[in-house]
Amino acid sequence: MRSSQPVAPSPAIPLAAARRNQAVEIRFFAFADHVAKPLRDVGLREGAALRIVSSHRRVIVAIGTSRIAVAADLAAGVFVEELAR
Amino acid sequence: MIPRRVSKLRWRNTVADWTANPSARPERRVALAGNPNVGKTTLFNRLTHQHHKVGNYPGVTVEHKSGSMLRPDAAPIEIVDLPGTYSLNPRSLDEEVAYRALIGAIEGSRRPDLVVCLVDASNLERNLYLASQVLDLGRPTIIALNMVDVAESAGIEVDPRKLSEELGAPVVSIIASRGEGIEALRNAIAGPLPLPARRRWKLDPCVEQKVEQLAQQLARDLPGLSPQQRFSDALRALTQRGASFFEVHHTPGFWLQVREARQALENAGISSEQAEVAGRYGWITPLVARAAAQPAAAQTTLSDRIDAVLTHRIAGPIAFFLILGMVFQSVFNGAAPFMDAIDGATVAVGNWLGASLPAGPIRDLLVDGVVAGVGSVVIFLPQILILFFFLGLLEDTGYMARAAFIMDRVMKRVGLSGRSVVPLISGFACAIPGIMAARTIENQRDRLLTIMVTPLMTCSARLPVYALLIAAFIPAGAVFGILSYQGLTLLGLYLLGIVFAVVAAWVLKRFVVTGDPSVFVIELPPYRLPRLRDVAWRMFERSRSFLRRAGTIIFAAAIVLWFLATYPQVDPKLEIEASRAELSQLLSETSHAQRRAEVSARLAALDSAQASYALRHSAMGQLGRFIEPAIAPLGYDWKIGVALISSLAAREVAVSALGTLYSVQDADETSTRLLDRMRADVNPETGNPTWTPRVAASLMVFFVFACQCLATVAVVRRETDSWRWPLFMFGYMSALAWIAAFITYQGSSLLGLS
Repeated sequence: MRSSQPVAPSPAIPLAAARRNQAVEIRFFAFADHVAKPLRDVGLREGAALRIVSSHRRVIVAIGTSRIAVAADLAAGVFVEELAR
Repeated sequence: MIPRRVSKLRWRNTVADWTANPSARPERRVALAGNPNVGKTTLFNRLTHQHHKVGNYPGVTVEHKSGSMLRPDAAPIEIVDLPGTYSLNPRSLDEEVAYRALIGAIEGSRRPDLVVCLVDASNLERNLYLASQVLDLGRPTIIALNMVDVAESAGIEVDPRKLSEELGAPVVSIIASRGEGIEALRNAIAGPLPLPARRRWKLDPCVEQKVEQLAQQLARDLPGLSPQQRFSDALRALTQRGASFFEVHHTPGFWLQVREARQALENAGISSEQAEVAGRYGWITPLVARAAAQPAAAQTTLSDRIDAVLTHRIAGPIAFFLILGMVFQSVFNGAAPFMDAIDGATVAVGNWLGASLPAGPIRDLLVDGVVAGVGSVVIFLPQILILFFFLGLLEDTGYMARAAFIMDRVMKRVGLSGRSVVPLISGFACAIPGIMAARTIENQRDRLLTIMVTPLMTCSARLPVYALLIAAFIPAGAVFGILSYQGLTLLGLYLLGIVFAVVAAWVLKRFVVTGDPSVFVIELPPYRLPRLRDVAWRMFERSRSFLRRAGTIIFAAAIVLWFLATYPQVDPKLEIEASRAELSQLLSETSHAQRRAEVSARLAALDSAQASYALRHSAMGQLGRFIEPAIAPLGYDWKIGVALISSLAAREVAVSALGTLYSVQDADETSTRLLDRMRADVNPETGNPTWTPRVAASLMVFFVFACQCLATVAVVRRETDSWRWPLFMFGYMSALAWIAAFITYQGSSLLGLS
């Protein structure tokens, strides 16, 4: 809940670059909150644990049973913490 | 893919735990709220026994609609189906409709007495975010836990009693698609109203304090607001920047306090805009862990495996175009026997009327006007049904959202996003629902661009025009014995519409509707086996609508066109009369069979010339010849011009107009097939055929681009709240149609084509 302004933590990797089947967690959004809102609305929020289903240009992520497709430029602005390889 | 097995879940509900008012109000108004694609309309149809369109993709419902839940022992209860929304902080028009309806801000309708909030049991955490906002409104609320079967198949077991305790509201488990649990929900809706839930989640203490201060300010400014409404308004004002219509009733002093509160939070390093999300999920996440047993490990589903192909960067677009190709091949090849049967029936009715009625204007009106005009359109019903069968399958399986995903790359390049694809594909059925579906696009620039280009998508009303011209002038052979030339031509026309919709969007984005594009985020629903009953109902609805149009607009147009093509009647030219008298004399004097045949043929040609002369001098002929100079460069004669003008009422009327025109002109012809008459038509002035493949191609291209539909213009006027955009759309599409048809006709001439 602290500020979502981008900082560049070293262990974080962009969602768009995450490998298929990789489990990740969204740390924060590297863009303004009004852009982050559509993502949060569909469940892509800070702290959410995801799984990458596909990451070609547009990213498909799994949150539980739901599958969300996100444009690559948005996905690239989401920093994630690697949970498992 | 969701299996169709019967759920073994025992239906439990916790309504009795939360009721206070023992008497049900007879005029009860119940709103169905929930995330997109959670099954609200399916439930609405179950409760009200209506048949509104459902589909397996987000954004099927964009307007609120109401119906009555009838019970034998009680007064009717009004059920209101709302568009899906992810939160009560609306971003798009359809979400705003849902929010306004829930707070009673829609003109002419009051606040609901009860809210039934549908949540997807298989995606509980995300769905409870909206549910928590609905509960905060302070209205009696029932949580309908839908898709329990889907949750079970994913290994998720939800405990409704535990969930109810945690939420502070009654929970009823249902499977709306199969009608399971609906009776329990009906009883809950009709029974005593549950007590409104109290807020159980907490904000960050600093934010909570600011919201309380703002709520106190609201209590002073607007004493009529309930405590829950004060809290909701204060929270929204603080956490939603650029909040829209609900700001207007707040005072400048309140907004000053909001700005100060935001600044104070920012100085403390706290994001006010994340406060609500963090607070609600901070409550929901552990709640879900307590109320639902989740599978230990993430599962790769059958939908994931299908998506590995259908959303693949190379295989996905190939599959998309193969699916479209298969649809249009089927439209042509599968409909032929049924069309022949309708054609035969139309001919039989015409012949029967011709033989039964005495000669005169009434018989001519019925045979040449009504039967020829209406029959020439009704014949295309099988093709429209096949098209809607496949569109229904695409919508029900969940492929529509994948199409949006695949096309996002192309749409991005022209300044739109994949969100525009669902309205555009809906335009294959009819531009009007496509334009309405654009309400789901939150970015106003993207929404306007989508509205402007959706009518370029080939709607089903164009199909009769294409089908007639393709059948008449495209050979029936096939490439490799599989892909028919006719089906490929139809596919080409659909693709032409798609390509130019994209091109038009690009041009409009650069020069007319400027601004930043919206972001692309879309939920991909799990693939489902299509419910054939829903698909069949949609086909039935479409055929009923098509036949209603045939029985009203096209019927009326056929009668008007017959009168315009028949009157004013002119005396035949003197030389025609003299030739007829001479030939009739010759026929009566000749007994030689070959000679008699020659004279009879000359008499028939004379009759045709006379009919043609009369038609040219009828009101329709004069109108057609008036516009002929404008359309002659496109290869059209005045009869085609009349068809173009008539098609402004509805595109299919062009076919009906040609049917009536050729029936009036060739009243004595034995062939009753419109395409045969068109092929045989000769320009009396030049002696050349009126119709050639070049003319047909030019006319088809004209129909790809022209906005020949006044209903579409009216809907664009309503959706943009201005005449500027519908007039602009009509103008640019008409200009595009003329230029494209000109290039097609004159270009093919330069290439030496006939």
